Amino acid sequence: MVGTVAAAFFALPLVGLLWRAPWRDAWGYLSSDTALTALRLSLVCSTWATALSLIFGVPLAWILARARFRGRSALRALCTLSMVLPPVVGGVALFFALGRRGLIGQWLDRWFDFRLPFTTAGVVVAQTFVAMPFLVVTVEAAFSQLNQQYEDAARTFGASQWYTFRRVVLPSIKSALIAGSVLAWARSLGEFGATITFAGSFPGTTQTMPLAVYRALETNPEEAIVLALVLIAVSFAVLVGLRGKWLNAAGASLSQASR
Amino acid sequence: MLTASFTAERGSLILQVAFEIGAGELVAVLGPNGAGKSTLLNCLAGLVPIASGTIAIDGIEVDCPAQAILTPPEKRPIGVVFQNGLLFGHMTVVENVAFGLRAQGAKRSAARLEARRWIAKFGLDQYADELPHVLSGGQAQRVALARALITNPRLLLLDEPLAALDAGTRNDVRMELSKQLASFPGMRIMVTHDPVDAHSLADRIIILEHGTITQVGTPQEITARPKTRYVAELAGLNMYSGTILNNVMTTASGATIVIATDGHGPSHAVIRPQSISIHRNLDHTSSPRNVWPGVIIHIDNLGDRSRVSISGPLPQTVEVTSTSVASLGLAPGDDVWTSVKATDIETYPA
Repeated sequence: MVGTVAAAFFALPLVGLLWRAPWRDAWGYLSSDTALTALRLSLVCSTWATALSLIFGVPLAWILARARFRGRSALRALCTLSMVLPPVVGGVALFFALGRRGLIGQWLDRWFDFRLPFTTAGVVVAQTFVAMPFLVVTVEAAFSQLNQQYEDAARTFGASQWYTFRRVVLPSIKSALIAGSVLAWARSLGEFGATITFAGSFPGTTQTMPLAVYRALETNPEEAIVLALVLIAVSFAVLVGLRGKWLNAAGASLSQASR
Repeated sequence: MLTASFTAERGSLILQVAFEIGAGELVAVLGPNGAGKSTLLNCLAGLVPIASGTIAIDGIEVDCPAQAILTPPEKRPIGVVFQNGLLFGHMTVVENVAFGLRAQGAKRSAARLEARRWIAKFGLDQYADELPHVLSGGQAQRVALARALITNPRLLLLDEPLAALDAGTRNDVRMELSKQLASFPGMRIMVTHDPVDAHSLADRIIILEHGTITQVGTPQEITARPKTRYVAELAGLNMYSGTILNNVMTTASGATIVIATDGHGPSHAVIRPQSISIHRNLDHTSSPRNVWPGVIIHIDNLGDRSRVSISGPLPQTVEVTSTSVASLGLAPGDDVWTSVKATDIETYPA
């Protein structure tokens, strides 16, 4: 009974959107340049953010799971802080670090004439900042559950540490890698606060779907509903595609990470 | 040839050993759980660093902290068969067996070809492309052995290779393992807590207790003349330690044992449980010169024979016919006398 209420709680807003959706004009809104551009930008940026999360997050998860050093818990807290931080705060913080007058940003600007804020790259950075922890937490849990004896065994058969990592460790955590990537990707796709603060909302360069929805809400609510439904459809497709198996793996890791 | 003389620490255990293994020898390291057997194996494999001493394989030092030598496992000429096999679950049988060759840089096709040759040799052709979870315990063990042997190691290490198998298949797998191990020309060290494995497979046995080697010898030597209570119990013998003077051994607890053989000084004495007789009353006319009082603490009925555990100045395990247990009306708590002929006692220097 209570479960039904919960399910209804999640279903109702969706029904609300569908109810108000301007079905007759939907195709017009969808095929508009703004919508398509925003959708493409969203997909590209989320994929880049997921790739960066994988490249940097997997080694980080490995350190958190395996290295023994003082301050490991503090490092873990630091690296997962952006999961609980309001994204706007994250965006502001990124701005002071990587903005034109920022801690690092001023040197990037002066030496390389390179500026992150208000660029597509800035969107990717903002999304990576909020999304990577989801991957790190999922993968770290998988790493720490691994039976290290398999790695020892591989070493005795002549495998270097790197070969062991590639051929024994990574295949063993495949489902966690997939679950973590999908979580990070989904988080990037929905990212709003950090993006708008750090990268702004310029159509074509930084205006991703959530930002486009927000902008449309101010000028044309009907368009906002259509864009929102597209975003929902994409997210829903991903979650269904994930199937229970990987979601459960991710859920288990997340619950373990909160230990 | 393997020369090892080292110490290592693992938690509260301090391992301190010195031994040599000759070319082509199969040595079993036998000891109770927690004696440091696996630690010893891991030290030889390079998975646990030693604290002091040296390990040399064919004259080449692979571990020597004093000279800052520590060869990592992948650079040692070893192969390991782990407890439970530890086959990689995400790889097929061929990929598992080919792993060592691939890791050392062999081409995929060449490694697979060689792996299939080993798999055929071990009679597992039809499982070559299966994942390990379909294999029985004995089959998994064979794959693990093939995986360890494919790189042609100088030293093969086996960690409790039969422990994970159920009793039904154990004997068959032991016989197979014995055949396969015989075909490997290098040095072989097998760690086990099962005396049957050690006796049926090994040329020589090293007894390891509490991190220390307490006895080394052929299976026959070890069972005939155990040096510790642990070995005596494995061999099913009563063993006593004491000092012999004028054909009488006096144990630490003050009991005396009259012996027929020569001997002098600190010694061990063993008495087979079948050599001891149990009496209700002390019969002064009987010939044995060794008679001890005792209390029955436990009786194990083994069918037509029974094992009677007796406490007293000289604790004993006695094996008698179940008929005599019944006719004497023996029961736990009873006061009895035990006797043994001096000629049935074997002694040897401690």
